[in-house]
Amino acid sequence: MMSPKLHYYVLILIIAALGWGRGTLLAEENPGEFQFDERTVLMLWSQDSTEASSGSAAGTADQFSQYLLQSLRSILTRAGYSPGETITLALPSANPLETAITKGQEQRIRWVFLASIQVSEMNLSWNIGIYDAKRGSLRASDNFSTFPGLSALPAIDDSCQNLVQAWLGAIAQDVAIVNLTENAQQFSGPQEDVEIWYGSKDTGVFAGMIKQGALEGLYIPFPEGKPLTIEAWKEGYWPKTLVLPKGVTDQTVRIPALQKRASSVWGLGTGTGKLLGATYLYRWYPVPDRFFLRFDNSLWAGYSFTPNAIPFWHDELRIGVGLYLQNAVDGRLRLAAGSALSGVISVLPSSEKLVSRSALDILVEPLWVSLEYHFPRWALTGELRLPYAAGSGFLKQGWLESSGGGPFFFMGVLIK
Amino acid sequence: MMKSSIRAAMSFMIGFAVLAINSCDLFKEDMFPAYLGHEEARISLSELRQAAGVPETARLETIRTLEIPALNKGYVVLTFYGFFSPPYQVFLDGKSLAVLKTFTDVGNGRFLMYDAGTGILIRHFNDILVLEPESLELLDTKTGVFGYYVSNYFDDPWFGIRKDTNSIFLIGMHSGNVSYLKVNIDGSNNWTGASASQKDIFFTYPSSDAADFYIQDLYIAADSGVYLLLGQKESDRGYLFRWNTAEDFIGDLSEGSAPLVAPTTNNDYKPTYIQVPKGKDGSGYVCRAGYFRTYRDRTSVIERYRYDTAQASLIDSFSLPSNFQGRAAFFQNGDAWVLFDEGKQTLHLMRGWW
Repeated sequence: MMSPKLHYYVLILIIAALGWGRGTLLAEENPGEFQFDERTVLMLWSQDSTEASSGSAAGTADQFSQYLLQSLRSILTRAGYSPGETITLALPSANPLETAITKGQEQRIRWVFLASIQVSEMNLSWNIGIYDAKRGSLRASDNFSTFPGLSALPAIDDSCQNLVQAWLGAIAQDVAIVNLTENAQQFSGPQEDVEIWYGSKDTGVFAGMIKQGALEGLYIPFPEGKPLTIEAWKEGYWPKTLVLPKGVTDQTVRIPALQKRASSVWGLGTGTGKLLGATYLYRWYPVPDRFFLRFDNSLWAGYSFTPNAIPFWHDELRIGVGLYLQNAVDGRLRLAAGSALSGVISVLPSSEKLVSRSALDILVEPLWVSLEYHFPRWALTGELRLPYAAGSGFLKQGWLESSGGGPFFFMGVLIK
Repeated sequence: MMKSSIRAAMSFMIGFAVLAINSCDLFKEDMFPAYLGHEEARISLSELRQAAGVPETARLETIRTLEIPALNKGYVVLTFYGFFSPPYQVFLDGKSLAVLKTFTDVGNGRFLMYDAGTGILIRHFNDILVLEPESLELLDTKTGVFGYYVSNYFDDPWFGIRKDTNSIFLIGMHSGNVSYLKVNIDGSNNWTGASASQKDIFFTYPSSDAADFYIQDLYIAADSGVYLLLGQKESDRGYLFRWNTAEDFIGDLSEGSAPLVAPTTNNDYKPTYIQVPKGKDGSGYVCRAGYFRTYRDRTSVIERYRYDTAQASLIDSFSLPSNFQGRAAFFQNGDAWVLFDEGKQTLHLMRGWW
């Protein structure tokens, strides 16, 4: 079972590997190099007690070694670093730099502490080096020798303290060292049950789900000030990828409302030339929010509101295709265009002297254009249409124009 | 979520509807010709040609209406002209647009007159045919009223008005001037056209203005008032003159060389008049319901004006399709009118919108 912190580091490595954003968590001077964990310290140690012939001397050496390692762990923790795995080397390394670098690169851990302890009946000595596996260098070291008694313990503590301080001082000027955030990111959003993922839903880590408009994201020690990519996801909606330019901050990130992924839409509206009536429309999207087939039915009356006028009834059945012209499938403002064909059955009711008559007019629209403003689950649509009448019924053959000239304007709402 | 979306959408629709209601004219717009809501009868020109025997080569020239009050009857009279066919005059029923009768060789001009004591008068070559008002059967032929001689040649008669038992005045255009022709009737009921006389309108000196005007319409109202509508050439206006009686009108017409309007020895004859805006196609119509003209600005409309006031004032208008091309004619004492849709090649009998 992977420890929770290791889990985070794996995530960090994934994010870094995918190269999302400029601010990958780990060292970035040379993108082609290994990516290192910079907040964990790998500890290597060896013990040479071959001069101690007796078993009691070897046991004493073990106690001093454990004490030294424990002292180092304690000081590192207080300094904000995580003591990582402790590896025992069978023999003191003949080439400690090479050993440290090799182990560090294997583990993808930049800082490697290599301690070598020698114990004899009259002498306890140790040598600790802190190596930079990324740069392949020794950043600090300390060694000491004393009588292997109780008086050696304070000396071990002092040595470890001095060493860590020297190391921190040495790396303080190192710009590649990143500070990790200590806060969880806060999110808010207008939609419920929106999942927030660090990275993407497919490969990232689940940060949480917005409930009652808010979410405290799962804490992950992301580097401060580095861009962070997140993805908002909800079933049936278009996911949205956001980049937090400064990474995790104490500012609440507002997740915008996600647009419903439309596979079918219905709507209502009316327009010039048919204001005394309404249009019911249905769209089916073979390619969601990209390409659709449309079926409109309009019922309206022509009436001049003058004495002796009778209403002139029309029913139009219109079929067509449409295509959204912009790249974003979840944009708020969308432009669509398409073609359509319709048939209009018109009935002029009988009057005192006139026998009722009816006719079918065929209209062809090579091009219609609509501009839509989308909310998550509905949209406003305005459409311009310039039909060509075949002249089969009441209309004469030719382009139809609104009374003021130009195309007819339709306005309506779409329910997703 | 779904309910709130629908609620928001419905709110928008209601808002849009309220906005639209506030501009009621929008509701009058129809993708289809709005005039169809006033249609009472309809005939396509091809049907009409077939029924009347008018060939395709003959073009529809004039649309006139004629009312026979005594019979409660009306006719729509169409004239067709063509290079390769004789002129035709087709009488349609004023209530159904059914083709009733066709006359050929009707001669020049738009002459059409109903004389209560005589019948319906139309031109035929240089003759005048007298038709029985109900059956349209030929009752009589008055030959040689319009001769080829200078003395009685009259190239575009429009209307006729009876002065007395011995004379009828025909009003029309002759040589580009507003003119009249007196038809004398002798004791044997022989009709003879006198010489056509130009009629000046506002002045005679320094030159006649008869050529500056053309005839648009003539209306004899129920109160015996006579309205003559003249359009002014090269202008966007016309003049509507009113004489209180036919006698005044004829007296004014026949008053020597004096203009219609300018004061002369007998001012009793002189009309009152108002300016009216001309139609875009130069047409104008006057009848009981008002003065009508076609107008096209942003839209195509027929405007109706009051003319019983000091200035013509717009009463209302009737919308036509934006790209409408055609003509109208109005029954002068009825509520019906006729509309010819040139695009659809259909003739419509319409109910009045007033």
